[in-house]
Amino acid sequence: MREVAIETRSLTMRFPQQQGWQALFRREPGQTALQDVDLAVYRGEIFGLLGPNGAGKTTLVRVLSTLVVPTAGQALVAGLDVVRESLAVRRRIGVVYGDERSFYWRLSALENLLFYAALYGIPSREAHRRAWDLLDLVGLAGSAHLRMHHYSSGMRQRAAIARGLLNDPDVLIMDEPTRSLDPIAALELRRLVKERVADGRRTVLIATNIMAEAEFLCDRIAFIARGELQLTGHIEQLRDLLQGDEMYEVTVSGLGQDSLEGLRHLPGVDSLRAVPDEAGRYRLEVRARRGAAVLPAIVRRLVEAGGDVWSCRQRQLTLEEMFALIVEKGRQERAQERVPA
Amino acid sequence: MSIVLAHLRRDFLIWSSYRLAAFFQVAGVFMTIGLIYFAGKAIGDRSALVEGEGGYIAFVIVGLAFTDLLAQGLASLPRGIQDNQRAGTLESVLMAPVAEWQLLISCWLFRFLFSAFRTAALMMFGWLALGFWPAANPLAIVAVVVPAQAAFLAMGAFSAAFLLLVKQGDPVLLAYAAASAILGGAFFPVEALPDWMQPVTLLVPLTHALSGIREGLAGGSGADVAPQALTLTVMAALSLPLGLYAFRWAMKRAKEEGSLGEY
Repeated sequence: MREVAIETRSLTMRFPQQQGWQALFRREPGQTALQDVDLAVYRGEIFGLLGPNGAGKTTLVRVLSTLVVPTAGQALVAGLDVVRESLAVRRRIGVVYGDERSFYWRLSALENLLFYAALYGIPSREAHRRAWDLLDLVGLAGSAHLRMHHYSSGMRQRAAIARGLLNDPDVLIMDEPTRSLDPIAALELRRLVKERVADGRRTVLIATNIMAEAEFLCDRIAFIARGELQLTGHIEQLRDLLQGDEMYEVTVSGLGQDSLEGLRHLPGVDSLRAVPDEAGRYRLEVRARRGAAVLPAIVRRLVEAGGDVWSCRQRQLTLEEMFALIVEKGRQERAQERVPA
Repeated sequence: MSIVLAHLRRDFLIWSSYRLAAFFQVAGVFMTIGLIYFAGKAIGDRSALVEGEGGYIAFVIVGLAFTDLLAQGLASLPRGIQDNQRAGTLESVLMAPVAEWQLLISCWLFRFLFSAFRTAALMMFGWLALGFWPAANPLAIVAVVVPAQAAFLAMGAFSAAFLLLVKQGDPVLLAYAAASAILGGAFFPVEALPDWMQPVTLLVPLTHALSGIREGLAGGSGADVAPQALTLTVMAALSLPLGLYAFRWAMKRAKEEGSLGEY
């Protein structure tokens, strides 16, 4: 049986309505950020927590980082309770936030890392060795002595990864690590995480709303929306679960829009969209019932009508499409709840 | 210990990175000395209430120097927390295994040491340039300063707790600083206050601290400052555990509200 690195049981977080002075005298439950979240992340895996803005990802990450105390339920990291054993949890985790302002900008990256290493009780000589090794790992050794207010966003994110690894954590928690990065810097950072940070021993939890990031990095993912965990599993499993239909893309030329429209009436075809391209061809996007074997029928019909088929392929749902399906499903469920009996 | 020293090093590096501000802060100490000297010359010995060698100048030097030093226990904790909140670093520090008391000591130490430098500079000026306190008993002074600082730290912990809860407008810092300034005997002897206020002055740690320090500077022995030292020790022993408890409680409340880094 696989060892569980992160576990939550009925984890619920309701932020109180009142804050500041008012909260001293009166406290009523306000916005629900997490509702009965049950999650298990196994040791050594890269786990993605996906959801739109305001879904509860960051709250969950903050609970696991011991910065937020949940209203109910329990969260365990490396077998330790994040509320009752918070100091011990913090020794076992590293955290990488998307927030750039988590460093002392007047200090260099090296000085920052040495400061944070001391907070973990790492002796000075060892701290220097680790700081340099990590700066080298994230490609910042050449600018180790540069004050961090001179760093770009990408460099700060790299430094944040170095800081997250200072204590050689069992669990690395990353909250939107590529937020505010340009596409190239984001890609480089993802490669760094995939190739150098995740070593098969360390558990990595990544909260993100970038589907490509999760697809590139994660072994398993969970969708979260409105504070509730919607689905958890391997990306392929989730695709199978959500993908009630099969999707095809066919590129064809030599036929008019009318001929293509006729394909809609083939048995098994649910929907069809013909998108013209600059070369005078059409890209057909066909959604068909699973198991209806419509692709051979489509190709045969196109050829018989005198068309040239340039390519055809079965396409899988992208994570974006899966995400949209889940959100849409949730919307429909809420609409049904509102309809009076 | 390494956590506290790391904060000390960090604070020094940040402070010294603002070179012009650091220069003016050091220069400000000498400007204060000049100000006191000329103000004292103008006042002369006309203050009937101030007795002892050095007159009003010596009185104010002690009042200013040690109020600054002791007040660090009160003000440095909320300021340290607030500085980290504003810089966005409080949460990153608290994601490391740092206990509440370590955070508080870390917020205090650099400011206390810098204030100790200011205090030392003022006192050296009085001692070397003006010839005050020739028979001073440093050990007696330390015996008063240590419990006094502990008592101020307790109030600082309360103040930091309020800051975590209400973010701005902490009443502890404002009320305590005002009470100390008026009732503590820093700028004028407490005897100058109306009779009905005299008992209230005894509730303020600064009153006992400055009284004991002045006693030690006048050559008083350990036995002479024992009443003040003992009073301050009792005040610290009662308030320090409560202050730490309040800070821990406020930290937990802020975590329940998810407002730790907000200011």
